Formats: sequence, structure tokens, C-alpha cells
Amino acid sequence: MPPTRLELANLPDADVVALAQQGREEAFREIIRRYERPVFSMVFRMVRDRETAEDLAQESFIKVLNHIDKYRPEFKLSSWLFKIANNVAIDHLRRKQLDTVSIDGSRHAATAAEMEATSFDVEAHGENALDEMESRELGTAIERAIAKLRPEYRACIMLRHVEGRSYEEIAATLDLPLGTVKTYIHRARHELREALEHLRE
Amino acid sequence: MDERHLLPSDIDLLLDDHGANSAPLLAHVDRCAACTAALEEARFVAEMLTTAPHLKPQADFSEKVMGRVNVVEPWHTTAFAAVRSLLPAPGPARVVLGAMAITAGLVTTATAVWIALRADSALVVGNLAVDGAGRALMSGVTTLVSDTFGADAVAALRGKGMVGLAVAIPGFVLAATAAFAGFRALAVASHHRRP
Repeated sequence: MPPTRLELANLPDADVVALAQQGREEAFREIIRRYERPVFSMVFRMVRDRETAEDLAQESFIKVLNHIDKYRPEFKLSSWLFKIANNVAIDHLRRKQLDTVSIDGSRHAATAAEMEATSFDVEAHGENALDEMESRELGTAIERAIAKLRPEYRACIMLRHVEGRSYEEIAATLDLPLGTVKTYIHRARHELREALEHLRE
Repeated sequence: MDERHLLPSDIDLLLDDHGANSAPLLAHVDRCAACTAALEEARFVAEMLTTAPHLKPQADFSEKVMGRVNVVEPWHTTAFAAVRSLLPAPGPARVVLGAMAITAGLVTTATAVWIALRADSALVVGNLAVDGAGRALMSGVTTLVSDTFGADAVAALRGKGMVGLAVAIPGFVLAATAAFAGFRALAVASHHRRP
């Protein structure tokens, strides 16, 4: 009897991967459901373009899911996904030499409607309209600050503070020496503090 | 007392609040304005980043990915599913089938063990059967040779033993084939000459 969606949602990653390796389509969908937001968020913050981020995040998932039989259980599934997503995003940035673009929408957007359609959707956590507005403003300031970081700093700082990864996990995920990860995070924090200084009050 | 300033890893430890390990570091922070500032900076950035939301991809993200993913069922999974599909639904029928399978397995295993334990006996019986078949064959051949070529031929064959037999039998077959072919050629020639 195949597990239901609810049962799948309660399984650890390793079990879901095992089901995917048996050719269970629902397990593939569960992996996407679990990681589409974190992976998309990281890629978006790397490339700063919604359409491109959608394409690259899809490409990352396709690479991972089409090689799910190669998955080695000694690694975290999430680390594997982030590693592929980071490589895909870095490759894209190298090809296009993109660094920073507007968070308000795609640089390819020609009209206001396209700008709105391609801008990212920040989830507000406020309880009323004012809280929501402040939350959106805060989110925008943070996004702008993140956008100013070098791409390699962005990946490290997002994995450390948004995804809660240890330094060792980040080093393994990004194929960087541990010392380099520490340096990147240290510099990223320093740059972010300067960029967000006006919010400290 | 170690009065060195906090390393980035020390600051990370304090951000994660690792209990007893962080006590000496916090004691240093209390005495050091530079490290206090560094820790506040790290805490401020960390707090800001924790409010950074996970962004939502388009609603059809999953479908687009699944449209380009090859969901492959390994052969052993397919085989297992095929076997399972042949089984009756859980209930009395499956219990009966299971009991039959277990019985068949036990009988097969017992037979194999019995044969293995009596391998010597089986070997003796097999040898006796082979010897009997050999003697019957030789008797038949002797009778055939005696009736066809006379007792002297039999005596000659016996004198030459198995080598003589190995030469005589193919020779006989060859001669018989040649004779058959000759008679057939004559018959065909005769038929052609008829008006």
C-alpha cells in the first residue's frame, strides 16, 4: 500500500528518497514540495531575477531528481539540493556576468504589469495592515542589503542564517574550505550590518 | 585567563547559545567593548536575516519540474510488484496459498536433503543401470554382427576389443550407406531409361 500524502509529509528525507528511488511519483512531488521555497529563495537571491530563478531552480530539481538513484544517504538531501542549486546559479552568473539587479522585478520586464508579475512575493507576518506594510518594508531593506553582497557571500550567509546550516555543512555544500566559509560569513555580516545600520533604531 | 578577542567561530557559538561552552566567551565579552560590538553586530544581522522570508515560486513550479523528470521504476521493484499483483487479496485465499507454498517448499527441501544423504546409494544404482544398458547394447550388437557376418566376425571383434568395435561400427554404417546409395542410383537410372 503506497503511503498517502500525509504519511509522506511525516517521513524523514531519507525515507522519501528511498520511495523516489523505487519510482514513486508522489515521493518526487514531496521532495519538490519540501524544498521548492528554500531552493528558489536561494537561487533568487543569487541571480535577482524571478524568471531566471524559476528556470534555474527547476533545472536544479530536475538534475537532482533525474539522478535520485545516485543519492548517497550519508549526505543530507537538502545539502545536495543546495549544492546543485548554488552551482547552477554560479554557472549562470558566470555566463551572464550578472551581479545585482532590481528586486522589484525582472530587468527584462518592459511594462509595469510585467514588473509586478516578475517581482517576488514577500510573505508578510504582520497581524494588521500596518504590521504587514512594515514587514514588507523590512523585507525589502534586507533583500536590498543581500543583493549588494557578492554572490559567494550571499550563498554562505543565506545558508548560515536563513537555512540554519553549520559552517561545516556550508563548506561541504558549496565545496569551499572551512576557513573561506568563515571569512565570507564574517565579511557578509559586516557588510549587512553597514547596509542595515539605519534600521537599528 | 585567555583574553584574546572573539574569533568568528566564537561569535557563531554565541549566536547559537551553546550553554556552558559559551560562558567563558561571554565573560570576555562583558570585559571587552570591541567584542561586545562585534557580537551585537552579528546578533543584529542574524535577527534581520531570520526575518528574510522564503520566497514562493510560481504555483505550477512542481508540475513544470515533474514534466521533465523521468520517474523510473527499477526492474526489481517492477518484478516485486508483478509478483505481488498475482497474490490474492489478504484473507483466507492468501492464507491457503501461503500454506501451499510453505508445504511445497518443505517437500522440495526434504527431497533434496534425502537425495543428498543417499548420494552413495544413488551412485551405485546409477552405475548398475549404466552397466545393464551397456551389456544389453553389446548383446544386441553381437547378435546383429553374428547374424550378418557370422560367428567369425564376432570372434574377430572380441579379439580386437573396443578398438575393433569402434572401427567396425562406423565401417558397417559407411558400407550400408554406400550400398543404399548405389541401389538408389541404379533404381533412378532404370526409371530414366523407361519409355
